[in-house]
Amino acid sequence: MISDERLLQMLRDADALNALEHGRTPAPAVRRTRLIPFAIAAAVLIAGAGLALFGSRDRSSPGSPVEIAAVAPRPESPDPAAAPTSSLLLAVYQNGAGKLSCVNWSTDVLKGRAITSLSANELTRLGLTLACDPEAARILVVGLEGPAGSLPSSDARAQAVAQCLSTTPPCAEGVFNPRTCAAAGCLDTEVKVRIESLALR
Amino acid sequence: MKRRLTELTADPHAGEDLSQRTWLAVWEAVRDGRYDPQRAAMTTYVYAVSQNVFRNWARSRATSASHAPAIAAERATGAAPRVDPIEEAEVIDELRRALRDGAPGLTAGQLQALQLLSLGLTDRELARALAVAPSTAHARKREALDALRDHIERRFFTERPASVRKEQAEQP
Repeated sequence: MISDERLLQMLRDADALNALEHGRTPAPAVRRTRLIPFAIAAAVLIAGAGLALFGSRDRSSPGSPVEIAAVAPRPESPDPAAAPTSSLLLAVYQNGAGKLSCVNWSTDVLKGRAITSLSANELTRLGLTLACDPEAARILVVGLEGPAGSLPSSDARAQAVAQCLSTTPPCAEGVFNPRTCAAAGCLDTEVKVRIESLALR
Repeated sequence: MKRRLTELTADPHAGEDLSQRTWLAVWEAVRDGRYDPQRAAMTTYVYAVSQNVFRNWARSRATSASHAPAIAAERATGAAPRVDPIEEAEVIDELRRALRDGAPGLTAGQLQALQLLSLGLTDRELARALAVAPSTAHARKREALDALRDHIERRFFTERPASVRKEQAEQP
């Protein structure tokens, strides 16, 4: 009989090989009954956040209608002037239709590590710690690195980047990482970006 | 592979050395007909061989405190002293398929938990990702691993599924 530890190790091996060869594929869709209360709560959040953000957006999604999503409340918002950041992590949650449902971000979870030093799984795990929408169908974990002024430093900018990432189609097949390639249009040119995608439903 | 071996050994020179040993072992296996492409993909086979090479290396350094965790983990897995890489690769290939496409007997919820566990999430992280209580996450992990084990054992071993054994064990 295979022990739990052995099974988990082989699962991690299997995932590493899948990520290496094919990237991740969506899990089968599943609907849960508690979706309805969350949908109502999300609608309220969306409406509230929309009213709050509509006037304060400092960057809109290129070529797409303004869409509004919730930004997860965070206990403290880093002050870019007081503490310039060189990297941050965006957790972009999307619903089943691929629309942005919620954004959370942090400069702390990377603990100063370069995004290139993280494995794909590490990046995804860190993104999952930035909880936001329990009913989301997919999470895009976006690692950003660059001059402090070029990185999102407010909820509104994080929201705008997330919105852009959610609405920009991936680059054509054949590009090494179509999502990362597509993200270039959403960010300043000096920003390095890494994106991992994981189906949650 | 070299990067992974370097991470495992925490030594670039050892990583390089084990990488070369892995390719040599793969070449010999192909030459001697021990690798069967019908049983496992080459990528998975190379990976399994590299695991074996690392285990052997770790055992040979069992006295080194820095590698004690690797040895302990190896012992905890209950793996045979020598694992045939082709058998290991077969199982890993089946797990790769299960993670991508699901498997008979696995519910969508169990598959979701397995996909998250395959990222190396702890119980606490799993609870956060599933937006459930830690105890619920732990229960889901248990169910998912049992279902997966049943599937693997049905597929590769003649033993009866763990759940059946459990039921039989519980009978007076």
